[in-house]
Amino acid sequence: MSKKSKKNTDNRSSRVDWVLVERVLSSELIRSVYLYGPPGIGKSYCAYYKGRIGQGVYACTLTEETPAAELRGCWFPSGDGFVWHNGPIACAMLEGARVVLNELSHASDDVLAFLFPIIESPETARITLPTNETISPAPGFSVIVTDNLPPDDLPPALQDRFETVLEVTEPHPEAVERLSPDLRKLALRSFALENDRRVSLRGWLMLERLRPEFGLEDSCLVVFGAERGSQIHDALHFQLRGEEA
Amino acid sequence: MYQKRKQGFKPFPELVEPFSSEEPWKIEDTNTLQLPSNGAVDHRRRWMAVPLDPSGRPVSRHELAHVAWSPPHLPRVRFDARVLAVVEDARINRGLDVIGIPVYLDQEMCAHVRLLAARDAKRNDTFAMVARATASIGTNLESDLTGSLGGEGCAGQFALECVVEVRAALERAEARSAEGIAPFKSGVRIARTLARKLQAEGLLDSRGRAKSSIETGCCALGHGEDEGDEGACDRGAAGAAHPGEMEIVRAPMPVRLRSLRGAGRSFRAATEGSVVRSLTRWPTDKAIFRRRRSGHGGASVLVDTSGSMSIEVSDLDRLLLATPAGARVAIYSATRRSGELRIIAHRNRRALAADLEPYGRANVVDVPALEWLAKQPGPRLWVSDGKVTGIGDQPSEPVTARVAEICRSARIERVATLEVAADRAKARQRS
Repeated sequence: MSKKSKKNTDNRSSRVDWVLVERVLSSELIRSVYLYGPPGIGKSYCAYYKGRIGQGVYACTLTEETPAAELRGCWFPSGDGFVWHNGPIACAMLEGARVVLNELSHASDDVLAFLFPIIESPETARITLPTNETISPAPGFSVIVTDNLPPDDLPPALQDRFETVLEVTEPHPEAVERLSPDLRKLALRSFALENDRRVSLRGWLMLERLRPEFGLEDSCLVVFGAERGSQIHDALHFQLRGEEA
Repeated sequence: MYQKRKQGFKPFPELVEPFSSEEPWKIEDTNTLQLPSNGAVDHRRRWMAVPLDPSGRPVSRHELAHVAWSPPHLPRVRFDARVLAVVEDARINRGLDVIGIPVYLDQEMCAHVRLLAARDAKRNDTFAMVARATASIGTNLESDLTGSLGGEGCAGQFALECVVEVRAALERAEARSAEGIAPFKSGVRIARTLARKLQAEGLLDSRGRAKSSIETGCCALGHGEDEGDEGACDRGAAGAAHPGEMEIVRAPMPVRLRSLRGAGRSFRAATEGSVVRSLTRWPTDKAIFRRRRSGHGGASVLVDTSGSMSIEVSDLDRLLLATPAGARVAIYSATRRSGELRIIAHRNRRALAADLEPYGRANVVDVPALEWLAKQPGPRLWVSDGKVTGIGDQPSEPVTARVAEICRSARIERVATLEVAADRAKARQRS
């Protein structure tokens, strides 16, 4: 191995960065992505706005009570009868659009089972609707799942169907850029903390917005709550005292 | 009265340390540690101990300032290191006052320090009087302690003189500093001057060491030998009659519980929804759709994980593996004075095995734990050997009577083993 190639290997980060995530979302070869990481780092933002979104984006946040029918479609009363309305997944399949599923780990067994034929290879992916219409994904259809947890807890067959599984731990650089330099430096330090002290990017962005109107102390209190807010305020005060004064 | 969750009181030393590091600090609660002070910090181990309760904020501020402004370890000096430590505390407190977040101790802490200061005076421990009063510089206690020194004779006058000199020296150093905070080097110089004065008074020996037993791990204000009363309370019959304080925490629950076939599946009619179920309701209330009914599907299980139960983490893990979705499972145990109830399974999720370690080896909080169980949906199962204790882990008649009363009124069934509890929970869900 030459010296140059050795050096390149050493410099390569072992973590998935947002550049790679955006490349994956842009790739026409990849139809299903499982994107996970801590809350508030920009996973949903990236899934909605990056990559192949020309055909539109459908989004669903899943809960234990979300039925598969809500994703597939349902009958609605109309006059004396009922009309069929496609759900977001059926629409996305027909239009070749992207569908973003948030919090898949909270989904019911019903939804998980429904996803099996959706996240299939293009040759076999198809569903038959209650209208007896069978639909297959149009070119461009993709499923992006965002979650805080790895897919380990999903049924193995569903895990196997995801073409890429990406873990991101750092916040999206575009979102971090929206913070003022003084807060940005502190925010970057806070992202590496353990779960019970981690301050999410959402919190920092809200603090940034409120600080001019409410001042540092009150902003911390309203964004982070009385206990945590007072601790964050005290820590920030060390770095920002010049500005506050 | 249950304490609130402690996590919210954890400080953020990572945000104030001069150099960024990827390794987070470990924050511990001084209420559960046997430390001589109510706050401590170790830069090299990246460890900080502060009271994780509402009264701990001034201590957290003080320790944060040590992280920001003190060197990782105090340099070796040719005099008693405690002199340097108390001057450093005074420098830190003054600095916090300058930047606008002063150390303001609450009434309880003030009373505690005043008591310790009175004991110093009673023992004629002039070194301790000087140390404690010096460490109070920059806090709301400073005027109180220096005021009381005036009435303590020659020793008090000498201590007062020392405090006034240290304060004046710090003020001069602050005036010279651009930031308004005395540099650490100035603190060392002031400590050296104070040590010479103490030596001249005979309070330090020829090697610069003091005979006083006052400990100054970090903040010298709250240090002292006052454990006797609390220890007596632990061991005495009066203490055992009361249950300890209990904190309710919720472990992270990343793992999904398996659901039994057909169990917990109930639906309700709704006027909006996706799945048409009852067309016959169209002419009446139009609630033709079905919606999953959310709710509690299983039993509530409380597990005593004190030492007498000899329950291993692997046993609990097996219980959770056998627990059907819908059950709520909590474990509890305690140290000699206080304990923790940890919810480890709720609805369809459970905690990892790493979060099943018992809090302590004692019972102590059986009463508040059972009071919690009494408020949970039934059936309620208590996995325990029936041994219940109060503060100090001592059995007592009032505690036993209270436990019996709670079990009777809330229909709590005591079971001896985890296996029986798992079987009952499953049977409940099937029914």
